[in-house]
Amino acid sequence: MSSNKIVLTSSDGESFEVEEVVARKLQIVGHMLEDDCVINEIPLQNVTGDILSMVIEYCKTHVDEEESEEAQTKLKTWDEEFMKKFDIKTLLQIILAANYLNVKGLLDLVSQTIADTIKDYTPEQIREVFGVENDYTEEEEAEVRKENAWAFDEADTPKP
Amino acid sequence: MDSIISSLLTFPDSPSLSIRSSFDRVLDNLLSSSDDSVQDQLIDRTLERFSLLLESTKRRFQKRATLHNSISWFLPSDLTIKIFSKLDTKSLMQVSACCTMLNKSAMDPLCYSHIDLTTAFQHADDRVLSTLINRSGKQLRSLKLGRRDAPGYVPSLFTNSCLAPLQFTGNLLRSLHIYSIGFMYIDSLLAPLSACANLTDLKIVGVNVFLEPIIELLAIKCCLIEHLFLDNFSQGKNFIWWGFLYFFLTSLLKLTYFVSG
Repeated sequence: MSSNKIVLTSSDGESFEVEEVVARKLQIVGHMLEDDCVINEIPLQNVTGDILSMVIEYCKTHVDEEESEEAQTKLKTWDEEFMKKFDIKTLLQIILAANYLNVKGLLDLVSQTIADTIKDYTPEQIREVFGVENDYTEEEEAEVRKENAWAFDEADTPKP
Repeated sequence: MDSIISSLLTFPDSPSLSIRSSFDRVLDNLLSSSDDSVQDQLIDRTLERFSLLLESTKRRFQKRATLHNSISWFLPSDLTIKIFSKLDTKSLMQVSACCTMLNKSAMDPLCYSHIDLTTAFQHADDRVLSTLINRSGKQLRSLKLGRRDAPGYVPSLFTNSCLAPLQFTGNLLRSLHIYSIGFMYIDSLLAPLSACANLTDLKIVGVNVFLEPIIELLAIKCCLIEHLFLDNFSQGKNFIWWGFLYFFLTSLLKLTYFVSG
């Protein structure tokens, strides 16, 4: 295994020295390394230091993905605990970073976590959690609810 | 005109009582000095202008909310769609009712590639399913229907023809799970199934149909089946002729998992 170190620099100038195998988990870095194998410092424009450090933490943990069931279960538990650390705003930042840095496992993990947050909530609850405002006209909102009336239990349809 | 409206709107805060009496006073003045037709015209005009102002205000308010939302939910639509495609279909409808931006993402065909109506078994019917399949365009990959934890026979809103839309869009379907949707004529199941040539995963639980014709059809039309789970609650442990079963199952070369009730 290569012990070559690579320095990743965030948009706000924070630097992280990581093993090359860890850096390669970020596919964007992997591609850069293939194009030119002598780089050892890589600036990452679209991600801030606090988010990048979390992505690196994920990549370090997932650096050697063992096939054994025991290792898989352990990783899964780690993933769950890891996701619990973040509030919803941070999760949105992480998914954006995982998409930009092209870390597929993390992208799937975070999108599932956000989907689980949305699940079973009423529109009003989702608005509250994500800080989203109702920008429908009354007619538009009534239309959307009517079109998909089957998905709204009577209990959570607001009284006219 | 703009400056008049602007000065009306930017007039410093004053008690609404005093604004009201100003309005009253001005209107009284204008109306008292003119004949009926002029009065009518004036009243109509006043009502029209103020309802226009009200509409403008609401439009502006919505625009501001839309802008606010694009800051709160700052993901590009492809990521939003990726998240939404992991939701069961009922939850997808709930999130689409939040705001116009999320609604737009929730209408993308990719959000309907996995239609899961098991969380909406009380309300979903044929019309709902057919609408959703329409929205999926050519993206439909998996479909789950019915009530997963049904204790036995439960009434369902789905009718015999609920799977009919699959005859047109089923060829891309990989996975079909049907749970306790009551009685089905065997033909209303076989016709849609025969269109699902790429099916790899089929699960039918608690549906009152004979299983032999299904297996026979799978062997001919759905040769890619890998996972097969058939459990008929009324035929139940009743026997399937195993020689028959063996004959057809051996023609399903890819089958790696088979359970029958």
